[in-house]
Amino acid sequence: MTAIVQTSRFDAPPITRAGLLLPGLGHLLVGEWIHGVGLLALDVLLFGSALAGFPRLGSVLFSGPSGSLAIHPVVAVVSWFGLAAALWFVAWRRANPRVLTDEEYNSNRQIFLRQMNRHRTGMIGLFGVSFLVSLTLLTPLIAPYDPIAIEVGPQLAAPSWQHPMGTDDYGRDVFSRLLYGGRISLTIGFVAVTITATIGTTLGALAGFAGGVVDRALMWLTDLLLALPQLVLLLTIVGLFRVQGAKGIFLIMFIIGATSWMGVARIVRSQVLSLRQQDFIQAARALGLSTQRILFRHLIPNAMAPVIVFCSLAIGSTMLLEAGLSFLGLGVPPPTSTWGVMVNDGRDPLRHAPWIATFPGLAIVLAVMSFNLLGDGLRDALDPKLR
Amino acid sequence: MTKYIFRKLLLAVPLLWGVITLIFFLVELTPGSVADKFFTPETPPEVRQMIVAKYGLDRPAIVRYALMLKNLAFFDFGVSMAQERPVFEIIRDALPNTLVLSAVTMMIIFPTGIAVGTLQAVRHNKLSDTGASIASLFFYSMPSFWLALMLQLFIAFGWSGFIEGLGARGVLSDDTVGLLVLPSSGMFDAVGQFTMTTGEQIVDRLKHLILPGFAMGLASAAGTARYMRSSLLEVVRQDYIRTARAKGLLERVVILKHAMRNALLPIITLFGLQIPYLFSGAVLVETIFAWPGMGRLIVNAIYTQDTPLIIALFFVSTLLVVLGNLIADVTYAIVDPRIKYD
Repeated sequence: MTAIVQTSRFDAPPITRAGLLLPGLGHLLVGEWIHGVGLLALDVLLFGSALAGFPRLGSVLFSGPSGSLAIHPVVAVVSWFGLAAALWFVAWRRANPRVLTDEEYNSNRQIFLRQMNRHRTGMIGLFGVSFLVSLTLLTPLIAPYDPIAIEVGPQLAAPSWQHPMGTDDYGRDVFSRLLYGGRISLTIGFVAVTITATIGTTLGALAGFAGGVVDRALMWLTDLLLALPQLVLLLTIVGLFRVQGAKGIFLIMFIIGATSWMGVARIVRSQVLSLRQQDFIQAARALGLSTQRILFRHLIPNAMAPVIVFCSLAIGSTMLLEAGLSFLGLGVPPPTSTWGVMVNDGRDPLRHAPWIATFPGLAIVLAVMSFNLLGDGLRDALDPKLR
Repeated sequence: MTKYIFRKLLLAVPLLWGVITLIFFLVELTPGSVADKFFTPETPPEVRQMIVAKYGLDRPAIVRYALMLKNLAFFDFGVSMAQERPVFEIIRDALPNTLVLSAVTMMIIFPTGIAVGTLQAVRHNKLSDTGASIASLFFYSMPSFWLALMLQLFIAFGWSGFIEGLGARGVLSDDTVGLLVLPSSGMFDAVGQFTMTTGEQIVDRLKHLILPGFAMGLASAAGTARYMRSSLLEVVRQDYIRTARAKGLLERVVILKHAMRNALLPIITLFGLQIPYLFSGAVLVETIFAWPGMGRLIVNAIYTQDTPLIIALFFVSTLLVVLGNLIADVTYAIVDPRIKYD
């Protein structure tokens, strides 16, 4: 096996080493402005959170009940170092690209990585999502106030240096609430979509693989749930089983997951139907592999690409759904805030204090947009037809 | 064709049964009996018994389930527990309002979406295409309730001040100012309508429709534009379009007469899929704009745990979804002669 240096693609002019000084600088200097700006934005986040959080690290870390060590700030500090490591790794990789053998260069993984790296809007989405996830992880370091503490400032104060997004009618800091609310919104998005993907993949694969009565019954159930307006169904379930406190958040995640698996099930079913005709499944059968093994080791992994794309797009729509539920007062129970709850809080004082509803809504739009861009990028990069 | 429609309608029966059964058992599964939700600890036992007897709540669940199915088969929805009125009357009052709003929304979604998508495809990869793509993604990612609030803020509250400012400086005439300022909630001017002529009342109602219609429709219009763009781009690549261009036809004729016909086909399917989304959107937008339709009814029914009303609302919405899909299927068959149902 000869190692082939793909000089044209893995070109690293010496100037890319500027990235080691400040991640993103190297990319920017060789004209890769999306990577450059994206990384620089993450740099700003990294240094900003260090400036805001580290001087008061003691009080942040021991903010638990009666001065005990709280878990979230510890996670935040660990993530801070993780983010720094990731940023400098990306910068270092740009300056010292891997030398790939021919075989590696043509592997599916490398083709996908190259396609994704070249996809402009997809990379914008990826940096947007990375920014959001880092932001939620670093929240305890950044947030200037306790999100549920009332009267940290004057009531309904306009945005200022003390309160970058103003305060609400209880004198709570909107910026801090927005940061902490994002954690819940994003967590609900990720967990609910994981549940969606698990249920959908299992049922879809089952329907496609078993066929016959099982298939027809499952597809009937899919059609039935698709005919129902999802928000109304969710409202009904949440309204009937009203649960308070942290359990309410888990209930919402589970219910959203359990009522939105139909799309995944249809995709996986059609994939399995076409895959099971192919030679490698015949071979697996001829080798005498068990049904379970064929299903979980051979069929499902090969059907995953469109599911990943669907999930990335579904996180956006799940966040919209959760926001809608919370907006109607049937979502996450108080005092926890999510972006939907905050828009609802801003509804009554809309005329006098528009900042309360405006900023969380903008946050929702930007988050959903990032996930949609990422999903589009993943679809293009994973689609073999476009290569 | 008639046979196809008939068969589709027949298939709707098990679907409706499934929906009703699902909702009924969801209600039954909730902690506490249906009756408990209406009693406070102070309710005297005699009153409790009267209420229980009135709604037949003392019978076992399976009997009530059978009774409900029998009643629903004859479109008898029972009596609302919270409003003490027949459910049929309540829905009869609310449904037309939602249908009007949905019709206006559809009139915003499809023409806007198709026009923007077509323009984008024609100017593929030009600056205006990229700009419109970003704009449509922005609106596509926007929660309808937030858009509704922003429309209220900028057009009904804030911007109206801005427009009046323009009027005061003589940029706009007073008549134009009156036309631009839109009402922020309700279905008609509750106070002013008694002094209006019929024509003014119609204008007033239309003005009340604009903001909720946009709040409900803009995201879907952006989605339609995205869809239309990719659909038209796919059609434009085909050979018959090249032939049409080679014949020397005007580009406008090629796009509008040859390409559009085929590119519009998938949009018809979109129409059928739109209906459940419209209902979900109506829930949020009607709540904000105080629009007395089905969406607000559903929210109120859930807040008051009004079981008969909840079940009836699911029944009606499923029926509308089935009908909408049927209309889409039939239209598809009429427009595209390649499709044959039998």
